[in-house]
Amino acid sequence: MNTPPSADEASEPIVYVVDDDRSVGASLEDLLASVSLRTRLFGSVQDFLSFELPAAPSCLVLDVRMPGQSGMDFLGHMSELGLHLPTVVITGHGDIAMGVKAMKVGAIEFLTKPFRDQDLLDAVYHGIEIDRARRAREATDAELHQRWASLSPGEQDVARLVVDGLLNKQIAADLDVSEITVKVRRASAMRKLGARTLAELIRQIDRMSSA
Amino acid sequence: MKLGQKLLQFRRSQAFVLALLAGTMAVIFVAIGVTTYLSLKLVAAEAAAHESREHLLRMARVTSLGELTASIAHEVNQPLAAVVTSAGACRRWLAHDPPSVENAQRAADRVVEQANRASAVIARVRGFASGKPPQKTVFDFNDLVHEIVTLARGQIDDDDIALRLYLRDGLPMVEADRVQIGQVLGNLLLNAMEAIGTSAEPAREVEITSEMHGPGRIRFSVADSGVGFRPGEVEHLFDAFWTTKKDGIGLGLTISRSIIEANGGHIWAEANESGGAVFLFSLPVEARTSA
Ligand SMILES: Nc1ncnc2c1ncn2[C@@H]1O[C@H](COP(=O)(O)OP(=O)(O)O)[C@@H](O)[C@H]1O
Ligand SMILES: [Mg+2]
Repeated sequence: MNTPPSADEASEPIVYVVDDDRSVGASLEDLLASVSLRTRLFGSVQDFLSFELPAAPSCLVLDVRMPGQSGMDFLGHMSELGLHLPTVVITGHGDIAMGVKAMKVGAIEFLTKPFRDQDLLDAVYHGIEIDRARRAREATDAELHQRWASLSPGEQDVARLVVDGLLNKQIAADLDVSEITVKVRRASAMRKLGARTLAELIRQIDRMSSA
Repeated sequence: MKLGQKLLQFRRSQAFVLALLAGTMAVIFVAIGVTTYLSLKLVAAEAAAHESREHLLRMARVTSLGELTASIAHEVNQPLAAVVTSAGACRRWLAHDPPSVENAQRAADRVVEQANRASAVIARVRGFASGKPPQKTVFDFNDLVHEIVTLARGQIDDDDIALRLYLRDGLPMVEADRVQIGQVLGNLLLNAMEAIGTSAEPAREVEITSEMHGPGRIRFSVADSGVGFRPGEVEHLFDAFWTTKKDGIGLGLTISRSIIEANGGHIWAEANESGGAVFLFSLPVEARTSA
């Protein structure tokens, strides 16, 4: 194969397929490979759970009827397990009720076998994009928290009051320090948080408290 | 070319099932030179053709026809999904620049293989829905065991399996459909050999026993040192289309049970104390001797 060596193996999307029917699994792996998506196959929910998931944008393709835990049951418990994978549910004998149930427990798509290859690919691409966006969001949040933690308690106090809309003079009185000290801490807090303007500072702190 | 051979073999065995249903068994026997294993498979497949409508109705009562249809739909949709997906993959490999012919070829092979799998399911189901009722005769069960064992001998030896027979002397005659009971035995033996084939245990043993089981009944058992049952598996063994095998169909035991019950007997499974599985069935003895 002539895929160029990837700059970042970890950021390359990966699709997990959990289906006890090996032929279905293998054909899905082949289809995904033909559009340059890498796949990991699992024969049961249990096998999947014992696998250490890499930090790559991913999507899960999950069969409903399997020996052991059913895909539907697993899907219902995924968030409890701290798993946030966008999931495409596939089934050999689906009806509307089952489809409704799948969407209720969080599937992004419900496809009955035999499904159109393009429908499956569309759903998988969509899932990967959802996951990529979530990971990007989480990475920014984590960085923001890290930056916030690097502020001294005094700097954090000043930053909070700035965001509350107080003037330097009011902050100084509030914290019982000199106005110079407030200016120094304010400048330092802005620098550490990577905020160039007051508006940016407000946006970042807002976002952090909502995360 | 191991894969190619496997595919070929697979297609051949599917061809067998279909040919059998078309009633051209004798020709095929000569044409391809059937191995014992395949002939056992044939015995198992033939059982499908002997299934009675009556049983289907009875089954409809226990499971509901809806459930049965759902099962069949599921079993057919599974290979169909693989067919459609592989065909899609094949097209996409060909659309590469330059076309990835080797990958496309492999995808096309899978299309053929899975289409055959779907047709095998249909063939079994058709056999299942249109059979004859049992033709009861009076016969010696132990003789039948020897016959089936002779048929399987080559495969048993090839697989390096030690077969032990504990057949009680002087048992009364059994009254049942001899061909059908032979099919059940063949089925159980085939499953036992497959269970041993997938087990890592050093012991490779099959034990067949026959003995009295209360007045008027004889009990038979086929015990093996194979993989045995996983927790919760025993309840499903006889379910239609329930299988844990890659190329399994999951009708062997379903059909075996319906045969045994149509012949007035019972069939059940237990875990083998020494690991592995035991399948047991009972049959009524000849009416004249049982009173
Ligand atoms: N001797 C055995 N040991 C362990 N498991 C068995 C044995 N016989 C049958 N089974 C289980 O029961 C399932 C159903 O068997 P069967 O109805 O014959 O269908 P198939 O052989 O096509 O799978 C098998 O897939 C297997 O899991
Ligand atoms: Mg079987």
